[in-house]
Amino acid sequence: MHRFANPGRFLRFAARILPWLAGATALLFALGLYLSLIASPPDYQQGETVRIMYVHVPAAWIAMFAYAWVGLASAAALIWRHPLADVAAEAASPVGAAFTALALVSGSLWGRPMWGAYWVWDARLTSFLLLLFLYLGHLALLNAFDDKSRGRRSAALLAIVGLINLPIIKFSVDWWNTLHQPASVLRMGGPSIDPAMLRPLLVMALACQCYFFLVTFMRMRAMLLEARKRNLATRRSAAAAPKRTAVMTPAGTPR
Amino acid sequence: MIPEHATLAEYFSMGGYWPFIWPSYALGLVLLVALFWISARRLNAAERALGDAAQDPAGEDDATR
Repeated sequence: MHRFANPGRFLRFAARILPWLAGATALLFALGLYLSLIASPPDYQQGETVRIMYVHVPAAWIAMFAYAWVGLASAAALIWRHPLADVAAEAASPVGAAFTALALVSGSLWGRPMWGAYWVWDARLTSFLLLLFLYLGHLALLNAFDDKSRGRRSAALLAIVGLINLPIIKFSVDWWNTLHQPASVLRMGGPSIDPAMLRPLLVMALACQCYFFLVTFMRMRAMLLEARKRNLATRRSAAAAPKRTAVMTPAGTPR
Repeated sequence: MIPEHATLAEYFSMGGYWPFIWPSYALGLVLLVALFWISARRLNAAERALGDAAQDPAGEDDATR
């Protein structure tokens, strides 16, 4: 981790790994979609609607993973002032927000036929809606100041405070009486889900995970190159400016 | 374990649940493709801009030659 925590080194690392990540993402999504939509059976209770799970659950997992990434990178940025940490948090935030929105909407579309309601104000759904607002707040703060570093600092503070929401989301189904079903994969005693359904779920989750790294690294690389371009332009305009050193020490100044 | 459907229409109807299943997948596709596309364009632009800057004849790098 520390080896790549140098912007120049990260740029080279990203350039090398991005084609592989793109290939892995495409292959995993192709396999995942085949397993989800064609090769997996309908559920004995939920029928075909169980297929929404292969979108909903991976999206929710990656939404939470991405938030942990944003929160921890923000902490690293505030504590160590590391230039790569700010970029990592800023690059991942829109990706996490997209997965959060996808989890909320697909969950809603699953809730209607199974629970009879698109939305209920229960602990899991409400805490997940809060996750979307945290992402939106983070993105808004990043762009709220003319001084980019001030925006990044405020956004980082919000992201760190928001980390407390992650365990609340995870354990909301155990702490409160919710309509949402409890965990069936990441639970004590192993998954309680049939292998024929676990397989597409895990492949889709892996695909979403690869997608997260692919797009986050692409955005990080773009942001680092943009910063390098700005630095180059500043250096050039400084070099091109007329030399004024003579004016700054007028003749006759007592020494 | 490929389920047998009498017709393609039967498959796409997803046991009558198509209005809930297909939009879930469609939204996922739209969101992920759009975000990838935006990010790829930004990366391409950044790579191109830096490439041009490096070859700028009036630039500092060349002036020092």
